[in-house]
Order: sequence, then structure tokens, then C-alpha cells
Amino acid sequence: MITNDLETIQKMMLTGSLLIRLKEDDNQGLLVKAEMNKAREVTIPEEEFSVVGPKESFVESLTTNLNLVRKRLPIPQLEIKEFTVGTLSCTRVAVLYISGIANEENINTALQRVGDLKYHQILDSSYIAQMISDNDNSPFPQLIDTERPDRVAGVLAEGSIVILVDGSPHALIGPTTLVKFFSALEDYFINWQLASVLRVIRLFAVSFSILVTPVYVAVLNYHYELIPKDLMATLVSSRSLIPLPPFLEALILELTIELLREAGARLPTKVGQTIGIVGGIVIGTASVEAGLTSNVLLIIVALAALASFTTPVYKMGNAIRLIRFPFLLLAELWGLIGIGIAFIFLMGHILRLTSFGRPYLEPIYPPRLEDLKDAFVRLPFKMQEKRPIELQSPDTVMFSKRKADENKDIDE
Amino acid sequence: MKKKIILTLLVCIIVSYFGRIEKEIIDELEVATAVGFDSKGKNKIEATAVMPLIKPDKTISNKTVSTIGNLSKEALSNVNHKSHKPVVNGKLEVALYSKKVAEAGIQDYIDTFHRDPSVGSRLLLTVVDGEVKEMLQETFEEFDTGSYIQKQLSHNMERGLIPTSNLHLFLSSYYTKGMDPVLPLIELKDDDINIKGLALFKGTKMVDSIPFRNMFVFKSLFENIKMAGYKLKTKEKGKTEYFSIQGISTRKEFDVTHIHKAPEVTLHLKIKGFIREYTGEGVSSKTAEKAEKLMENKVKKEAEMLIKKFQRKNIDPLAFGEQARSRTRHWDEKRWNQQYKNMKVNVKVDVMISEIGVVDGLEL
Repeated sequence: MITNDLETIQKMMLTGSLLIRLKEDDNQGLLVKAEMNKAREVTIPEEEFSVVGPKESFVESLTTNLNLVRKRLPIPQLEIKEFTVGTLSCTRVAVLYISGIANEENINTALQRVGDLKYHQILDSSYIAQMISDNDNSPFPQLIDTERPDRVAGVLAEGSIVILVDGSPHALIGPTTLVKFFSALEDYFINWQLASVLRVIRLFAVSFSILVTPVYVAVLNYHYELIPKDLMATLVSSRSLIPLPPFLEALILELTIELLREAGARLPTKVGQTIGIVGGIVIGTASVEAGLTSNVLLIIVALAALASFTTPVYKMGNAIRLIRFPFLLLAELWGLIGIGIAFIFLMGHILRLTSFGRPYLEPIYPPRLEDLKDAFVRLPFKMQEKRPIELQSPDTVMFSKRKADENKDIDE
Repeated sequence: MKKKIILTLLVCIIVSYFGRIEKEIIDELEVATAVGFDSKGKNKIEATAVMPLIKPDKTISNKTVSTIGNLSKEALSNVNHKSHKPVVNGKLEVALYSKKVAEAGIQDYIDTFHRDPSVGSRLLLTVVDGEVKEMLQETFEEFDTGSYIQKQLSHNMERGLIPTSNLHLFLSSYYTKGMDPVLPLIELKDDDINIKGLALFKGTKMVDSIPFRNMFVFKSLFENIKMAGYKLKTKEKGKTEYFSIQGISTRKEFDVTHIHKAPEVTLHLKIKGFIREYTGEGVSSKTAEKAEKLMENKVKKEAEMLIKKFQRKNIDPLAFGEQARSRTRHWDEKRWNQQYKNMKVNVKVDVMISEIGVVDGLEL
């Protein structure tokens, strides 16, 4: 680029270009891009690891990331709109969609929201996720963040919009729904029966994780009639020496688990092993033997923690960690009725949530029966001929079922 | 905005503080599993409650508390005075009434359980021949007495000879027109609970009982039996032979004719079973036929005898009245009661021996 504009020269040189002038007092010069991009190699995904399927993940360089997506969608319709966000960081943000497949309204929403961002520094895509989400007071993430280029390519083909941020190995996907947070990409790599069962297990695990400790507290506090008589001896004998009421006992154990999790996440890997020993043996066994917690509750809390790890999207797991506590509090106050009240509030909140203006609880509400083909269960590929109604794609048909069904195998 | 938040918080705090409900923490309660009533002279009731004492090493022992009062509720609430933890009745398994109490009428006791929402409608009711307190103070293996009695009764209802009954069914047969309730009758015999027979009620008062040996026939007339056993005795050529017929399932059907003028009830009883033991020589298809005949006659005789007895006592545990009522318009209870005593009841028994065991056709 040959220019004599001082401002451009300054800007370009600050982002790593060379200026070549023939004579020292020439007011024109040639700007050559010569930036050095020190970036991590493309590695295997760590958060969304899958046993089968591709094992590439995004890195911190936008150029590499775009390349990873582009090679999976080598079509001219894949459009990339770039923005520079952040007055200090000048971060490159790219909005990706396939024109003709993504809904115009969704595209405009995304472009407008990213374009209007006013902030001084963007260090990660999660900054953007928080700033452009529809309701930033909600504990639930309204955009899926993923580190897998294959997932990005997959949702782009369905008509979603993807936001990539330079310096962040996480892409943002929107519009999305609640059930999508419980579908892992691996569900598409294994056969549909197994994938469906796994999804149902995951949803069950999440509701179990939210409800089990509150139900324990509620039943022990208010509804002793509900305990089966064969379980009575186990429960009473495990609780008989505990000085704390069920609520405090449960709260302390829940907080202990949270502590373990937090400590495990903050510590370097080498020291992390100590945490397992401290958590497992010292806190677990010793506190039961000392008569501080009942072993039934210990099992319940541990199972609940285990169940909350089954969510494929890490941020959703965090939200589930959080909403357990209001449930616990209301269970202490009003027993099962309290859990009911908490559930009503939760449902009311999720019902009102939107993602890029599209309903979050779809296909449950508004009921879109057709979208159930890829929600709680995953039906076989030949039944997935239409794009999800939720995304309102102008081109609804992904492939022709009739043609796909044609049997061209030669057999006698 | 700030005002709104403060107001919401304030409402939350007020509601959650003043809207609390009474807590019933499981390990701070005495959960009664059985309650029994004895009659102690005139207008005095002795209530006995059984509570399992669960120790930290999971062994269960019994704790019984008895109190005397004028009312059943009073006696029950007196139990609380004698216990170091509040006694609750949400896990009641059985309620036992001594024969004396049952004969005086158990209306008041039933009413308490009926009103209390924490008492389940699957509570078993039973009449005890003898002193209830004595039975409840007995210890049985690793269970507390309440669960033990409940277990024994309920498995005998499922696959034994006790007609299915619980609080719900008792109330339903009590309130149904043309039907009278039945309860099992048990006794304490050599440190064991023995099923003695059935207590027959008129309303809520016990009026009669039938012995254990008639329970098979009664149950088969009362409801469909799934699994039961029956013993037959024959005398042939001066030799006494016994049949044991097992795996019996029965079906019954009612036929009510001439409801308005002179009602006549026909009971079709179908019995299916197989021979498991025979003390005579060799079992063949002929012996099976013989057994069928024998059983038909015996069951028929016994059934007729039982029904005669019910008619004499003017009670209707087999719900003939209910059967007639459900088949007619304008059923008149008063007239039915007059007709009932002299009503003709036919019993038709059809026994089928489906197999004679794996030694089929073996000639000895």
C-alpha cells in the first residue's frame, strides 16, 4: 500500500507494518504488512473434548480461527463482517453467517449489537457475550460459547450466527435455546439411539443436580411422611449424631464442594492433586466419622456435583451451580411448596429469556413440535431435512429427503 | 428502581420470616408405626403407641408407650407427655383394636385417622383377640412391632387368605350402602402373631367372627384370589387321604335376579389350581377329577353355610346389597334390608385342576 496519509501510516505501523521510502525526505511510502503473529498451535479441545470426531480447537489468533471455519465451509456465501471494538485494545471482532441461510433479522441484530459496542478493552469473547446478551441480569448464558470449529461450521449451516474475537479461543453462537446447551457435538458422531439416551441422561442429571439437595432438606424438615419406611432407619441413624439442622448441613456441604471446585480450578495442575486427597479423604471421610455430616447427605451432594458436570457447555454448568442455592433456601423455608415456588420463578425467568430476540425455551414454549427432532432426543440424519424453525431461516430445507432416500446400492 | 428493589427485599424478608411453618425434622421426632387400643373398664381407653428406636448403628429396637384416657384422641395426645420427643403419626402402619373395643364400636378411632391428613389411607386396621398392649410390647426380630405386623398382614393379603383391607377400603365399605366391613382378627400365640380369622362388622361394631378354616372360602367369595393353597381330605376305603392344591386363582361373578320382588343372588365361582401334594397313591387325571369334585362340593357347602350365617346376623360383608344396588334404578335400602334375611343365594362352584405337577402321568 502506497500512501502519504500520516494517520494511516501511524495506525499501520502500530499494528506491525513496515514503511519503505525511496529517499529519506519522500512524503510517500510503501506500507508492507510484516507483523509477526505469535500464536498457539491448533491443539485438541480441552473443554469440549470428544472421544470420536475431529480434535481441532480454536486458538487465540482470529486469522487461524477464520481459516479453520473457512476450510469446513468453502463457499462464497459464507460472509465475514469485521469490526474493531475497544478504544484501547482495538480488538478485531468477526461476525460470520451464511447469506441466504441465516435470517436477515438475526444478522442485523448481531451486526448492530456488535457494531454499537462501546468499551475500552475486549480481552476475550466472553466480554462480548456478556455485553450483547439480551438479558445480562440472568445467570443463564444466552449465547453458546464453543472452542470447536466443527460445531461452528455445523451451526452456521443451520442458520445461526457466529461471533469470533481475536485473542479468544472461544466462538459465540446465537440465537440459541436452552436445550442446545445440553447437546454435545459428540451426539452427532455416535448413532442416534445412543445419542438420544445420552441427552436424556444429561437433562435428567441436570434436574437431579438442581433438585436433589433441596428435596433432601425439604423432606427431612417437613415431610417425614414421604420417606419410605425401609429408608427411615438409614436416614435417621445417619443423622442421629449430627448437631446441625438439615439445611445448615446441606449448605455447608454444598459450599465445601464449591470450595473444592474453586480451589481445583485456581491451583496449578501439579498441586491440584492434593485437592483431591484433601477433598476426598479429609473432608469426606473424616467429617462423617467426626459426626459433622451425615453420610447420606455426603453421597447426595457428591452425586449432585457429579451430575452438574455433565453439561457439555461449561457456562451452563456454572449457572446450574448457582441456581441450586435459591432452591435450597426456599426448601428450608417452605419445604416442597418452597421448591415449587422456586421452580415457578425459574420457569418464569426462562420463559422470558430471549437470545438475539428469539425465544430461549423453544421448542417447549413456544411449542414447535418439529424442532423436537433435535432437542431432547436426536433423531437419525435422514429425518433432519429441515432447518430448525427457531432460527427462521429463509431456506428451510437442508437436503432433499427424497433424493437422500433413493437407494442406489446395487444388489441382486 | 432502588425503591422497587428495597421493597421487594422487604416483602421477601417479611414473608419468609413470618410465613414460616412448623418444622418436623425427622431425627427429632418419634415416628409411631403402630397404635393400639384396649378397653380399660367403663369409658376408659388405654392407647399404646409403638415407636422404633433407631440407633446410630442401624439396629432397631422397640419403644412402647401406653396411656389411659377417656377419648382416643386424649389417650393419644397423652402419649406425648411420656415421650422425650414429639410423637407423630404420619408413618402409622397398623392400628389395632382389642375385641372389646371393636365390639363397642370403633367409630371414634376411625374418625381421628380419617380426619388427619398425615395418616395414609393405606393404614391397616385389625382386631386383636386378647390384649393389644401385650402384643405391641413383644419384639419381633429386627423390625419394630408396627412394621412387623404390617408386613405379616400385607403379604397375607396379597398372596394369602386375608381379604384385602385398609383404612380406605374399610371406610368405603362402611359408607357404601348394602355392604359391611370386614377386618382380620389376630392373636398373640407363643410369642408369634397368629391369624385367627376374620372379624365381621355391622357398621363400625364387631358382631361376629369366622374362624381361620373358613377364610379361603370367604376370600374367594369376597374378591379374586391370586395365589393361595387349600387342603382337601377324603376318606376312601377307610383310608384318609389329603390333597394339597396350590397356586389357586379364583374369579367370581354375581348374578342378581328379580331384584324388585324377591331378589335371588347367584354366585359363580371359578377356581383354578394345581395339585402339589397327595398322600394317596399316584396322581393321574382321574385323581384330579376326583379332587375337582371334592373341592366343588366342599367349597359350595362352606359358602352356603357362611352366607346363611351372614343372613342370620343381618350383615352383608360380601356386598350383595351393593351388587343389587348397582344393577337397578330406585334401589330401596329399607326394603332390601327386609328382603335380605330370607333371600335365596345360590352358589355355583367350578373347579379346574390345571396340572398335577412335573410327575405328570407317572403311574406308581
